[in-house]
Amino acid sequence: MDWSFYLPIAGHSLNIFVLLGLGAAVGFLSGLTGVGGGFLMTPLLIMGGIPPTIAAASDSNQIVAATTSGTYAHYRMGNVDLKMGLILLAGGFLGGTAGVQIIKLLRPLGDADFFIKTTYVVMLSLVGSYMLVDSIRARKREAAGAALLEHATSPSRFRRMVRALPWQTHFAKSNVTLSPILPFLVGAFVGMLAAIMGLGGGFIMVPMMCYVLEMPMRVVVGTNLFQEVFVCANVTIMQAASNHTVDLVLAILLLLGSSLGAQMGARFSHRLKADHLKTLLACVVLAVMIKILLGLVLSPHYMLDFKGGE
Amino acid sequence: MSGRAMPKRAPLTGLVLLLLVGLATSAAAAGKLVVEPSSVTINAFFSGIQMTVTGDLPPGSQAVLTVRGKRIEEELMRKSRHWDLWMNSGEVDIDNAPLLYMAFSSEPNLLSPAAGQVPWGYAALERNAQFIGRLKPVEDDTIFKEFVELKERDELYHLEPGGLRINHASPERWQARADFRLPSRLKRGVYHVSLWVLKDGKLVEKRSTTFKAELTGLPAFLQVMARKHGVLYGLLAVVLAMVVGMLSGLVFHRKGGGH
Repeated sequence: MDWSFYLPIAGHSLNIFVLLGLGAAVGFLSGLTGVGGGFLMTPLLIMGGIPPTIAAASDSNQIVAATTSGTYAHYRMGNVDLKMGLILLAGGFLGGTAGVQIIKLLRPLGDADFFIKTTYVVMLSLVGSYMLVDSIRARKREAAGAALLEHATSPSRFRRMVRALPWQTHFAKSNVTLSPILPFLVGAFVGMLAAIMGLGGGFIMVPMMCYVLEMPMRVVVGTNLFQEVFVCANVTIMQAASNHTVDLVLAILLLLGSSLGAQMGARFSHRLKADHLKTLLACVVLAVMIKILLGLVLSPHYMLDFKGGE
Repeated sequence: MSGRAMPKRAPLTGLVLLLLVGLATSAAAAGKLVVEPSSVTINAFFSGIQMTVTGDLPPGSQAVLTVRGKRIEEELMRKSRHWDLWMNSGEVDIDNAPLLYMAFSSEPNLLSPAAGQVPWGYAALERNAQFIGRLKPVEDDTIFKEFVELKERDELYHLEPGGLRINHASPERWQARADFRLPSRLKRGVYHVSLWVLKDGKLVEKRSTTFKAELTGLPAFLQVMARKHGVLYGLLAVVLAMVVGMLSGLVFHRKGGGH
């Protein structure tokens, strides 16, 4: 017996242990850093011979399991800000709809692919570099015992603007007071980018929650996982209904691994310091950016590829 | 016609019928192409299948065996450089190319490009294919070569010069045999198997048969559900994912004693 399972929508078989292992590895990262892991899993599945459209859609499905599992674990630890998550989600749905329309407009012009990939590289470079520099600075400050001094400095112009927004509300779990307009706009912005880039958007959302909403890192991880459950559930149903590209067998095998991996990741995240988590996430984001950049610069092995899907 | 004459003639008629059936069977055996297994079942544990094709040959002949899936239109994306960056620059469709193509020959040169205008091999596929998309005619050859490389990567196209073995059972009876593996990417449908028999380099006979590949069990159920009840399938996928996620969370929480 070669322990292979036939994937009915992808149309070929893959080894069960490879899929479980892949799910566990990406799930661990998801539980640890709070990102859905789609930007890692989808390319790995494509490398395993799954057509790109099926890899992306089935991955969304398995992220629902990983993020549900991760959300549950973080919720038990008191790390999910439901009020903030729901506002981000509302903005995300609005932004996602706008992003789909932007791509629809760009596709006939023929430059959509270029626009998507350059958006990826620019966003990932900015987010990854900023997080890396900031986490290193924070660790240096901590070592020098200057953290208190930093908080005592006067707020920036951006912060003063944020405080001037109406309906200032206290978010108890996150221990921040701000206008719901801000998380709504953050949700809309990330939702729009995620729709353009075709991902859950966790790796953009997490830094935005950290730096724009000033939420504590542990609540950021849990809250992002919470909102990604709904974002990916929506994508799964849309893909299944309109493109028939969700491979349930593939998704189940991946999610069995990822939901367990997410639990282990969530537990491990509790042992890490917030700045270490930021450094780790920054490295992951920069690694993905370098991978995409190399794909754009280096000559491809094949000048053609199957369009994907059935 | 009297009713009594029949019983008297019956033994003779029976003998003649038996002889005719026997002759027909032996003639069919001489020209028969046997595919084993005669059909392929794609179930939840399908990971490809080993096949054997045998057929009798006239002594002194050579042969080529081909296995071909249905002809379809393949959609491909083409890459090109924009501002020094590699991008998908447009769609290229190759129509009338088989989903699966395998060829095995008794003599290696029968599958070489020098074999000329023969009805088998990649050159024959290229002649039948139609190219649709942003292409110049001179690019057809390059595009088709890349297409074949992609198909070979997926184990859907395969040429094996010398892969058709000829057993000399007796001076009067030669038998061609090819053993090969069909990949797990095999799609359901009818597959055509042809044996091209040559003598002194000239085609003297072509024999054909077919076998069927069918989806059964869970894969068949899921494929039908995904295509015909997409929304329900999507909801089922989401609910399953949420349930597994929650269950694994509960199991871990209990094992770890909670926080």
